[in-house]
Amino acid sequence: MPVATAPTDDLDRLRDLTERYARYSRAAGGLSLVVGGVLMFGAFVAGATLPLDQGMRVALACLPAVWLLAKELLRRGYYQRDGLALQQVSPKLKRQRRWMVVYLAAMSALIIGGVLHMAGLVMPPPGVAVYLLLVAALPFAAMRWFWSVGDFLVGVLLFCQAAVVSAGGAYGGAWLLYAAGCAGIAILVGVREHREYLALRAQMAGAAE
Amino acid sequence: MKQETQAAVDGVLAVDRLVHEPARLAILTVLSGAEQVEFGFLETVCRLSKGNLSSHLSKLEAAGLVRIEKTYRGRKPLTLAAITEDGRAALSGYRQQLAALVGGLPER
Repeated sequence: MPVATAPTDDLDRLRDLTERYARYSRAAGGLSLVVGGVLMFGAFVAGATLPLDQGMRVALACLPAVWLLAKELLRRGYYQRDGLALQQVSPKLKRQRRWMVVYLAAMSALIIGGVLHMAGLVMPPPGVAVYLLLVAALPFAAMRWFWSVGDFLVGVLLFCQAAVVSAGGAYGGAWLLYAAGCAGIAILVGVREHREYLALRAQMAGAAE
Repeated sequence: MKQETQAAVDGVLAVDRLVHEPARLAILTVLSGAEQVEFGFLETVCRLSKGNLSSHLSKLEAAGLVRIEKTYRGRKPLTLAAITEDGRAALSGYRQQLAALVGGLPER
C-alpha cells in the first residue's frame, strides 16, 4: 500500500539535507572540535607538568594556528567536499556571536592596555610582544572561526595558554580540571556531530543511487 | 464549462511555471536551505549536468530569483549561487499553490 505523503515532503527533505550539510561550514565542527579539545587539554597538561624550554613554548604558542588550520582543512577537504554550502545564520546565533566577540574584544583591549600601561613606552621583550599579538588576534579569530559554544570553549583556552606560555608563564595544575571539562564537552559534541555527518553522507549517497 | 471546473483549471494554470520545472524547483529548494551554495554542490545534490544546471540558473537569475557570484578560489573559478528575497517568495507561493492543488486529491 502506498504511503500517503504531502506533496511538499520531498522538498522539505531536500531543504533539510542542505541545511544539515551547510552546518559543517560554520556551527558544526565535527572532528575539528575533537582535535581542538585534544590540543587544548594537551597544552594545559604540558604547561602544568612539563619543563617548558624554548622549543616547547614555541610549539604551544603555535597550537591555535594548528587548530584553525585543521579546522579549515577538515571543512574544505572532508565535511564540504561536495562544494561549499554556507550555513544561514539565525538572528539568535548572530546576536550570541556578536556579544561574545564584543566581550572578547573588550577583554583583549583591557589586557593589552594594561600591559602597555605597565611597560610604559619601552619596547616589550619578544615574548611579551607575541603575548600581545595572540591576545589581539583572539577576537579576530573568534569573528572568523568561532561559531559554536565548543569553538569558544576550545579556542579561548587555546589562545590564552598560547599567549601565557609565550610570555614565559603557564597555567598551573589548578586549571587542569576546568580545561578537562571544556575539552570533554568539545570532544563529545565533536564526536556526535561527526556521527551525524556520517549519517548525512550515507543519506546523500543513497539519494544519488 | 461549469464554474467549479473553470476554477480548478484556473488553479492549475496559475502555477508559477518558472518554479514548477523540477530541476529549477530542486535548485531553489536547495538554495533556500543555505546562505550561499557552490555550483558543485548544486550539481551533486540536484543531480544535474553542468550545462543543464547552468542553463536553469541563468533563467532563475534573469527572473531575479537567484543571485550568482563568480569569483576565484586560488586560480580555480568558483561560482556561488544564493536565493533572493523574490526567490524565497516565489518558492513559498509555489508550495502553497501545490499544496492547495494536490491536497484535495484522494490517495491512490
